[in-house]
Amino acid sequence: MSAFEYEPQERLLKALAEQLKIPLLQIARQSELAAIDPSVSFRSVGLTADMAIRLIDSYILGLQVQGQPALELEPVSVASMLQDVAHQLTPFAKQHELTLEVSLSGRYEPVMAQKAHLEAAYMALGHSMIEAQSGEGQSNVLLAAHRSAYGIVAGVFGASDTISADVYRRARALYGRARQSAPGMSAQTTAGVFIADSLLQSMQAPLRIAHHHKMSGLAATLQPSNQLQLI
Amino acid sequence: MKTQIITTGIILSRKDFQEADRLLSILTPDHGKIKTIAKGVRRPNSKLAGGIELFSVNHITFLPGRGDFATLVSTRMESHFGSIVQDINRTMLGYEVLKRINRITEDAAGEEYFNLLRATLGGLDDFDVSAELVELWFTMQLLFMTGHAPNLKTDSEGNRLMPGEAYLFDFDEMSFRQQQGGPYGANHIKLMRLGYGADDPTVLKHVTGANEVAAGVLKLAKNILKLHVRV
Amino acid sequence: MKVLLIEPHRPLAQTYAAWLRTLGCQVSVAKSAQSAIHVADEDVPDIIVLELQMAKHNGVEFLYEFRSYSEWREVPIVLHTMIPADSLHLNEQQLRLLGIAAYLYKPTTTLMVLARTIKEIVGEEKIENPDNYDRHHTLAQGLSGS
Repeated sequence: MSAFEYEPQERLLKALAEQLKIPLLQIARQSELAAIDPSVSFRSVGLTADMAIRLIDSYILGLQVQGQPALELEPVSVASMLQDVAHQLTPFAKQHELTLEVSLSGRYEPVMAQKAHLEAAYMALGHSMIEAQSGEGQSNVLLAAHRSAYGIVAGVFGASDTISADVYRRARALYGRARQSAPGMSAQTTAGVFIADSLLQSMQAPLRIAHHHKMSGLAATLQPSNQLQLI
Repeated sequence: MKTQIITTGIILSRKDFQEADRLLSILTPDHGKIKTIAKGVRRPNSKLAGGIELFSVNHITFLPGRGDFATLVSTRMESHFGSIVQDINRTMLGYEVLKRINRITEDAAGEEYFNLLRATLGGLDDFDVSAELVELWFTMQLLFMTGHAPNLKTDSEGNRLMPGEAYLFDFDEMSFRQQQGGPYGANHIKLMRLGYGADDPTVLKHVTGANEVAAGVLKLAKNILKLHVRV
Repeated sequence: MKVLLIEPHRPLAQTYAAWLRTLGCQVSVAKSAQSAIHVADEDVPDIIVLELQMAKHNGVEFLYEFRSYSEWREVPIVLHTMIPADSLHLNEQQLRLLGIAAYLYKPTTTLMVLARTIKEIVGEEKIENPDNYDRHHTLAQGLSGS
């Protein structure tokens, strides 16, 4: 089947399959090395496997969401959610020789969202962005939120300037079709971005290009709950 | 005092020249192919896209030289076919196209070659049209421009090519010969005609069924090119 | 023997570099085409192990640029890539022109096969610890049954 003929879900599955090759490869080669050199640590293998499993879980969650008529929403603290995600992603970032930071300016009202989906989306997004930034020789990744006229913009940002609105639009058309849908977003890093997008779209908050101070990245605009503001 | 010349150009090749310089072959619409020396760009920061990207149309300023080489004064990118390098095969095809154009313009290079190259790179940059179709269009255009276009109107007996018939290709006659069970039919011939007649390879993406016969047609076109043009 | 390993994925780069160092190779790691050019400029490698899929400038761009420098035309290059052979439309002429000494599909290439391939290309005398190589080979064979 030519790459032009895949349906969107098939393309996402193909992108996921490509992205999972890397952690499995890492596990296989590290195991091979450890069999020859007993001093080799297995810690990174465990971490790699954990992140891969999370990515699969995020993908499955995304599929499940598509079948549901409406999500049960709850008040979610964006700041806490980003801190939790950062905590979980930090060892992975370190493995890629990156520093992961959180930037939250001010206090934010809770947003009405599905907490597990939101967290899964940012984990998947963070996973992909860390791998993409690492491949570009960058040194840090930022989980950040700031206010805009439209809501709370929360996303993952890097120092690289290769991602722009044009690049992202093209990447959306190309993922699952081209081996490298955007500079820095190879077949092995794309799936997480689009899994995150799929989850966030179910909360009417699709990913788009955003900027935080001098960094560019991908973010969703989340709506604060007006009801909770009155409490 | 020599007058600087300002024009647009597409870089065909780069190679080393003495210790610190690079020799660039640049195809322009109005000055043919020029060989220019880019002085002092051979050392680290300038190597590999040190401001002179391949697969791009550039504004260039150069000083004509006494001998074979001009001196490059400055370049500025006008447009960049950046998607090409997101796919390995398109990248390789891009280099092949540059190489063929470089060879074919050894002796003379009119504006038509610049336009052909620019359109081909534009086609490779568009993932909605398959690389195969872009290569087919490029090959058919080269055959036409070098006076080696096959006869796509009548067969080797002088009869009109018929929709229901099967054909072989006669390389000596440069036309199709009716043959029961032959590999080529109406769709192959139609696609060749389109490759020949379309102003731009991106036109071919709208042709239904083009991808199905593209491989066979491309192979034939490339064989004709190899036999008669040798680039 | 000096190996330039061009590998954008850092944990993988660490694993492959660690393996090659156990064979006594001096390994430089580059994460991108640009940095690979810089590294080669500082110290010409005896062999390059190259992943084609990289951000900004891919491995094919690296290959063409690298080969455009006359002093680097004889350095053998092993493609060690995530791209399967049937997706890579390289013909014999291109392989020869670009000086590709071998193609290895990374997901299914074991460390032993990588070592053996390098050894075949550069010659055993250039691997400083050939005894280590044989011992590892035997040990790995024994463990994996292959």
